[in-house]
Parts: sequence; structure tokens; C-alpha cells
Amino acid sequence: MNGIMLGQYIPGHTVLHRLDPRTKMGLVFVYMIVLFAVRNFWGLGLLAMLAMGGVVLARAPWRSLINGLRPMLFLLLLSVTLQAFFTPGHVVWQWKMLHITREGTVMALLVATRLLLLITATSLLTITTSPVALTDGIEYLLSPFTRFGVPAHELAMMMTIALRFIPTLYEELDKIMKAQMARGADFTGGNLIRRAKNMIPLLVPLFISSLRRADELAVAMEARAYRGGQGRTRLRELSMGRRDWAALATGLAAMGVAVAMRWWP
Amino acid sequence: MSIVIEGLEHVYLPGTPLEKTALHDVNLEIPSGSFCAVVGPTGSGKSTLVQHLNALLRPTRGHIYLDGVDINARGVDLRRVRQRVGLVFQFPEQQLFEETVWDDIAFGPRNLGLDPGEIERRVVRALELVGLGKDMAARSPFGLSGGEMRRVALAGVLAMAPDVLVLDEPAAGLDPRGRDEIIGRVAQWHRELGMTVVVVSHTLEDVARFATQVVVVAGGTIRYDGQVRSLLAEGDLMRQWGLDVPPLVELMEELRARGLTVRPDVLDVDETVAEILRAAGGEPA
Repeated sequence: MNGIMLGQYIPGHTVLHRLDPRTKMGLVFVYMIVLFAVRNFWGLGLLAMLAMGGVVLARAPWRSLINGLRPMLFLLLLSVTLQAFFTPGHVVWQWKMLHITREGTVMALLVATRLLLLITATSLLTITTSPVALTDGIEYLLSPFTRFGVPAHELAMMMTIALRFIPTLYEELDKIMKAQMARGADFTGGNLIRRAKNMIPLLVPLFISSLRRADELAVAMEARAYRGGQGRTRLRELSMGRRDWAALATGLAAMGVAVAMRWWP
Repeated sequence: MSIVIEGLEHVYLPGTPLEKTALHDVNLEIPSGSFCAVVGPTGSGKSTLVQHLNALLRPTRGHIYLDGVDINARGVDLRRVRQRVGLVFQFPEQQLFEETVWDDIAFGPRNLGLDPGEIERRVVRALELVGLGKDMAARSPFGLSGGEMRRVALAGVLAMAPDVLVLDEPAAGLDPRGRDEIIGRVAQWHRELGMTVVVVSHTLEDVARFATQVVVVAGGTIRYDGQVRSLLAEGDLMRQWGLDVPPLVELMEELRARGLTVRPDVLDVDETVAEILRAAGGEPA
């Protein structure tokens, strides 16, 4: 658990870092849809170039991108295998019940490329956007729905708080774990039931301190006159600059072309 | 039980951008039966140091020997090490989890696989040592006061029957009476049960009276290892290391600056008063 986590924000000052979070989120959102609307390799190639361009612009370290892929590896392999073996069509390889078809190979490649690009794009978003900026963006994008009863500000605030406390909780868990190990507890051995039981000495103290912390945080926020989103102003207003419009125009145009390639000969 | 630390180095998160050397070049000997005070400013590495004493942290480099046995060597029974070196963390009341005080104290002995009779003896004895009545045993630990909860947590470690008791800031967050009470009890266990005690503290005042050995940790390594009194005479060095100089010592320094020839290395109020009277009146008080 120590070290770099999946898609963790890496502070920086590249063009991508300085884009408005709404621009990046909007582009990634459209990108995800376009990925599945595109059917041929030319279109996917263009989308891949777009993602690579982003990686280069963000000066994203390859290590953290690859680390981000690792948890998805199983899913990737599974879907590639399923596509390869179970798509009907022209058989190119056969062994007993198993056979691979030409169509299956194409589908597998298509699926793999889509998944890889999907992960790369979302990682790019989280690598170049601080959690605070992300939730600001989410709040803004959700705000039109407030009239239908969606608590946009509250949701964003909850996310911010949750993100803020992940490292704190982790530190606390580490400490409680050590304290129980000092009393002879063992968290590694035993079967599943035994291990689940061993979690009790960790989870009870962790829950108690989390509840206490939540209570203290609530009091601290109220003491500073927090009363939800209504009429709340911000220290850093989101603003769309010329850079954002340029990025949106380029990105959307490129994705438009990628979709249009569907009707290419 | 004697503890020897040789060339200890500890690096957190090695090989990542967050890599940090918390300890380096630590060499230390804590003889059996000592009351060793480990003092140092926040972030100096003292908590990291004591977590090596029962192998909760493994050294990046160096060795820790308990009675001559390297506790990080292959084949060493870690449970046995952790039984012999009892470690009480800062704010230990935050680790309580059982439904009753009794069960919580029995958690350690049960992990050791002792028989029920022995467990019962251990729990009763631990309750006695921390000064909690037997009527407390059936209560929920979460209904107790902060000070009582801390004593239950202490009892949980004492029930392991350790030879060495390591306490990380045992008095943190307590009022002055609570501080005296806890430190006084630890000193009593040291005196009467012959336990080797290691107390981590960021101030000297609490532990100065009892410590047979003082170790100053600053900037990730040991700056001083010796007697309390010779350290108290070095106010400027203490300030340089980021330690708080005890108020009584500061008082003595002020008096000396104004021309009264008093010793600065006083441990408590009585001694200070006697020393001032001696210097001022020219006669023993």
C-alpha cells in the first residue's frame, strides 16, 4: 500500500495541469464515449495518438501510468481471451474444443486497445488534476441538477473530505495494527474465517476513531460558520481561459474525425 | 534484559520520491534494569527508534540485540520477542476494542496461547498494577474516563509479562496529576519489579527524577547518552538540539546570570529550593 497509488495526483505545472478541471473532465467523458463508438483501427489509432499527446504534454512518468494499469491487467486478459475464443467466424487456429477465429482476434485487439486507452485517459485526468480541483469540477458539472434535488455542493464536500482523510486513516490503521501486533496479534496466518476474525481488533478502534474524528470535524466546520453550499463563495474561482477553449476545440475536433472514420472506405 | 543497538539505520519508503532517512548511525546500549529516557523534539526519530526494539520495524541497516540475540535474524520467534519487550504506543487507549475491560487485557495473553488459569492470574495482576479495581473488569472500556482507558491499555501490555517495558509518550494529553500518576507507576514497576524501562518523552521534566540513563535523539541520530545531571548542566546544547529546557533548570540559569552561584542540574522543586537557600544564605536549608 505504501508508495504511489493508482492514478495518484502528481503535482506539476504543465499545460495539462493548468487546464480547467471542467475542460479535462469534459474531454475525458467524451473520449470514453467516442472510444466505444469507434469501430476501426484508423479511428482508434487517432484516439491513441490523442492519448499519447496528452501523456507527453503532461510529462506523466511512465512508471505511474504502468502502475495504474496493473490492477486492470486481469480484466484486460480476461476480456481478450473471451473475445479471442468465443467469437464465431473464420477459424485460424484450433485445438480440440478451443478455436480462435480471425474475427475473434480482431475483436480482442479492439477490446484491448479500448481498455488501455480508457485507463490511460482517466489516469491522465487524475495525474494532472488535484483532488480538490476535481471535486470543484464535479460540483460545477452537477450544479445544473440541484433544481432536481441533487445536493451538488454536499456531494463534492463529502468527496473532498473523504479524499483528505484517506492518508490519515491509513496512518491510523498502521498504528493500530502495530499496537495489536505488540500484543501478539498476527494478521497474516490462518484461514479466511480466522483472518476475518483477526480484523476485529483493527476495525473496532478504527471505526471509533473515525466517528470521533467526524464529530470533531463537524463541530470545527460549524464553529467556522459552515452551512452548506448556499451563498458560498470560493477562494479559487474556476475560470475557462483561452487555453481551455483551444484544448476543447482540438480534442473535440480530433474525436469527431475519429468517429467520422467509421464511414471511411 | 539488556538491549544493544548497533549501527541502526532506518529509511521510510525506500526507492520512492517520498524516501526519508528517519534514523542513521544509531549505537546504543541499554543495560538490564535501566530506566532509560529517550528524549528529543517532534520528528527526531525517537518513535521510529523504539519500534525497532520489538521488531515492529525492521532496520534498513544495523542490528538490535536482546540479551545478545539479534531479533531480526532468521528463525527468531517474533511473538516471543514481542512478549519480552512490551511496547505501549502513544495514546494507547485508541487501540481498545473488546466488549469488557477484562477481555481487552486478556487479548495479549490469549495470543500467547496461555491456559485460562494463567490468563486469569495475569489479568488480575495487571489490573492491580495499574491501580484499577476488580469491579472494573466487567465494564466496557468505552464507558471509562480517558485516564482509566489509558490504564486499561497499559494493563493490556503488562499482562504480557514483559521483561522490558517501552512506553511512547505515556503521559501525553494528561493533566499534571495524571502525568505524575502514570510516570510514578512506571517508576514503581521499575523499582519494585526490576523491569527494564524505556520511556520516550519530548520533555525531560517528567522523567528526569527517575531516569538512570538519558538518550537525546535529534535529527535522526543520538546526540547524547549518559546521566541526567550532566545533561541538565548543558542548557545551551539542549536548546541547540531542539529540546525544551526544564523550567527549574531555566530558573537556575537566570539566577546564575544574576550572580547567584547555584548548580543548574536540579531534578525537582525540593532540590531547587534547597539549592537556592544554600547559595543565598550560605548555609544548608
